[in-house]
Amino acid sequence: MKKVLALLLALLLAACANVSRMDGEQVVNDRLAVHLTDAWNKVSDPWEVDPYDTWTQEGIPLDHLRLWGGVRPGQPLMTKPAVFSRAADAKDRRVPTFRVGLPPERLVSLFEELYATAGAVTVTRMEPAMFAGQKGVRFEFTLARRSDDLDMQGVGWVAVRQDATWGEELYAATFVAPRLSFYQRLLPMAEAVVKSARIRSNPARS
Amino acid sequence: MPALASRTTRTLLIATVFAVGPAVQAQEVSTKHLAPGFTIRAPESRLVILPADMELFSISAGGVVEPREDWTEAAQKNFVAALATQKQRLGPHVTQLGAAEADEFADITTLHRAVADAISLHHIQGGLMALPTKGDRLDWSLGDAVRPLKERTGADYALFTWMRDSYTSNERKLAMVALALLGAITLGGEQVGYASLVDLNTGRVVWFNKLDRMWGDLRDSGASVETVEALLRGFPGSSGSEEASHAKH
Amino acid sequence: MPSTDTTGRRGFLRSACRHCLGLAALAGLPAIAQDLSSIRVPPRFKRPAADTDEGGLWGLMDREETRLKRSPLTIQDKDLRAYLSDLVCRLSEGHCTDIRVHPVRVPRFNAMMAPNGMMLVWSGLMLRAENEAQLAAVLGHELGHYLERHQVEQLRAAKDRAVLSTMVGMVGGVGSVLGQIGLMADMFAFSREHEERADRMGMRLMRHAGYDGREAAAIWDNLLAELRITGGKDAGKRGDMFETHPTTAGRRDQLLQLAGDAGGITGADPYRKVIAPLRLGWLQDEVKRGQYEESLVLFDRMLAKQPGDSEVLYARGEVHRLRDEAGDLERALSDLDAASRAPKAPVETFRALGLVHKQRSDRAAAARAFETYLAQAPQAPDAAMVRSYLAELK
Repeated sequence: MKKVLALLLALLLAACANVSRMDGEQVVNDRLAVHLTDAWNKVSDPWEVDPYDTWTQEGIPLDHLRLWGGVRPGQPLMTKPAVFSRAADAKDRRVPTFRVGLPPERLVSLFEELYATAGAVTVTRMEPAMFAGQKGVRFEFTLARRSDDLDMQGVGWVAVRQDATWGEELYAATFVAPRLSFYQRLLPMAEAVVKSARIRSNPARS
Repeated sequence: MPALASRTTRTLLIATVFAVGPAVQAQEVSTKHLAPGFTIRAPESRLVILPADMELFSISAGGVVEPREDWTEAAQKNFVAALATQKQRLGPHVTQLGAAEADEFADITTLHRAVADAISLHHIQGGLMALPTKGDRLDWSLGDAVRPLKERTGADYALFTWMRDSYTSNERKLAMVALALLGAITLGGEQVGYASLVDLNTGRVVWFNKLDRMWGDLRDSGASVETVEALLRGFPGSSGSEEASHAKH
Repeated sequence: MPSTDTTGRRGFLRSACRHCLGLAALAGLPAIAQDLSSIRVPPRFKRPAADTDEGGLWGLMDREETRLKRSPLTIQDKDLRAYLSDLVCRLSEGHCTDIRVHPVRVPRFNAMMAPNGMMLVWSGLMLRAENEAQLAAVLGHELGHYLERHQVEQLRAAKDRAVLSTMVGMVGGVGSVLGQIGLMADMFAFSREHEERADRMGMRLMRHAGYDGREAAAIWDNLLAELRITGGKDAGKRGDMFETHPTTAGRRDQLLQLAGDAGGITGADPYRKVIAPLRLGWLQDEVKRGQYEESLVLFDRMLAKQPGDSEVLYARGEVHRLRDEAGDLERALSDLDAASRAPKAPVETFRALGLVHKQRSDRAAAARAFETYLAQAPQAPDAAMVRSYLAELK
C-alpha cells in the first residue's frame, strides 16, 4: 500500500514538477525572506497546492528543506491526502492546522503529526530559539521512513508573529536527510539558510 | 533465439511508431555516467560485487503483473555467470558478496537505493527534474556510510545492481497483436535497471549506468550476457587494462 | 452500494438475531455452530514450484521479508516476538514451522499474511486488542487467508478479470515508466467471500485453541466504532482502496453465531503483561496520528475497561490538550491529574500537566508539575524548553 502511494507520488512529481536554482535573495510565499550563500534546488509543486516550499541539495529521495512563510490561522501545514471514496456523512481526516494561541510545544506537535504521516517519528530535542527574528522553538527528531525503511534525521524551527490583520502568522523550516552521512554533511547548509531568515513586512500581495 | 528476435522486432516496430522513454544511447556523454575527475580505477584495485536486487515478472493477457520465481532465480544465476564473463571489464580482483553477508549491510544498501533513485530522477532522467546545483555532473556520495563495508571486505570499489524486468506471457503477446491490429499501441515488457560503482574510500558514486528498454532477456543464459554488457557499458577499467570493445548485437 | 432500504432490513435482522441468541440461551441449548467442525485445516504446504504463480509470490515475499527484518520499523523486542510466535503456533495446528511473525511499528489496525508464511502484525492492532483471544481472532483470520491460499486465488481471479487498471510498472524508484504493481492491491484486498471464509477458519482455529470465540465479534465491533468517526455511519461497509479488512455490522452477528456460547480463554492478563513494556510508545504513536476523535474512541473504551490505567489516562489527556476545543482543557486536566496520582504514572504526565496548568494560568501548579518532571527526567528531550517555562513562571 505504502509503495503504491509512494510510487503514485513519485509519478505525479516526475510528470509535472520542475526544479529551479535558488541563490542570493529568495522569498517564500511573499513573506519569509532568506539570503543564500550556497545555492539550493527548489522543487516546484505541480499544482501549487503544498503550503510550503520544498528545496533540496541531493534530491527528493534524499533530503528536503521545507519552508513555511506567513501561514494564517485555519490554514493546514500540509495538503490533505487524496481520498478515493467517501460517504456523504464521512468526516475529513484531520491535518495539522495552524491556529491562534498555540504555545511552542504545541507548534512542535503540529510538525510531529505532519511527519508521522511519513513514518515513525520521535522528537529528540526541543528548546527555545530565535527564528526569522522571532522568539520560537527549535526541535530535532528522528524519522523511520515507511516508504523505504530509510532512517532519517531532522531538525525544525517554528515561530509565530503577531499580525494586525490575521491575529498571528506562522513561520517555520524543517530539514530532513538520511541519518547516515547525509544529515551531518548537509546540516550546516540548512542552518545557514535558516539563520538568514527574516520576515518580510508589508507584503506585496493582500 | 527466435522468441527474443520476434519480441525485439515487434517492440522495435512499436518503438519507432511511438517513442516510449529514452532509448539506449549509441554514444554516451561521459559526464553523464562518470563522476567529475574520474575516468579509471586505480591499478590493482579490488572490487566487491553486491548481490543483485532483481525481480522478474510476467504480464498476463489483461496486463496483470505477477512475479516469476523461476525466472528470478534463473536471472540471478545467469547474472552472476554473465558477470564472470566480464573479467576484462571488471579486472582481476573481484569478489562476490554472499547474500547473508550483504544482509549485514542492509542499511548501506537501503541508503544506496535512495541515492540511486536520486541519481536516476535528477541526473539520468534529468530534464525538468535536473538539479541545477549539480551542474549536470554525476556528483553524489554516500560519504562515510560505506566504511563498514570497506572494513569488512577490504575492497576499493563496490558494484551495486538493481534490475526489474517483465516479460509478456504468450496470451499477452496474442492480445497485443490483436490490439495492434485494431490500431492500439500497447506496451510489452520493459527491462529497467541500474549499475552503480561506489568508491569505498570516499563513498563517492564514481560511475552510474541505467537501463531502460523494451528488450533483453535475463531468463536465458546467453541473452543475459547481453544484458550485463549493456548494464556495464562504459564501466571504468583500471589503468593497465583495456576495456573490452563493446560489440553491438 | 447499500440503500437505506437494505440498512433498514439488516437492522431488523440484527435485532431479530440477538433475540434468537437470547432465546436459545434461555432454552439451555448450546448455540454451537455445527458448520465449524466441518472445516478442515489443510496439511502443511510444500514450497510451490518456481514456475508457478504461487511460487512467484513466495519468492517475491521471501525477499521482502529479508528486507523487513532489517527495517527500523520492525519491533525487535524478544519477549513480544516469542509470545506472538507461540500464539500463532498454537493457532495454526501443525503449520507452526512454516510461519514467521513480524511485529511492526505502524499505528493502525492491521495484520496481514503472505503465501510464504510471513505474517505482519501492526502495533496499532496490538494496542487495540483487549486480550489474547481478540488478537488470536485477528491472527486466526489471517491464518484463514493463508491456509486457504486466498492471495493466490485473488491473483488468479484478477488475471481472469483482465484487470486493465494495472499499468506495466516496476516496484522501486527507478524507471521512466513508474506505476503500481496491481499485484499488491490485488493480493491483499480480499473478496467478501474470502473474508467470510477467513472469519470461519479463524473462528475454528481460535476455538480449537481454547479461546472464547465471542471475542472475535468484540474486536471487529471496536474497530467499526473507530471507523465510523471519519467514515460516517456506513463506514466499513465498503472499504476504501487501502482497507484490507472491510468490516460490516453484519459481520459481528455472523461471528457471534459461529462463536456459540462455549466460552473459553480470554487471556487478558498475560496479554497485558507482554505488551506492557511497549504500550506507552504505541499510545504515543496513536496520539501523534493527530486523528483525535478516533483516538478518543479507543482511549474511552480502554478506560471504560480499566479506569485507573495511568498510561491511557495520560494519552487521553494529551489528546484533549492537543485538540483544545470547547471543554478539552478541563478534560485534559481531569485525565492528567488522575494519571499523575497513579503509582506508575509515565513521567511525561507531569510535563503535560504542567502545560495544562500553564494554559489555565495556574502558575503554582504548573511550576510544581514541571519541577516533578525535571526531577524524574533531567535528560528529557524537551528539558531546555521546560526549564525556560519554569523561569517564566517564577
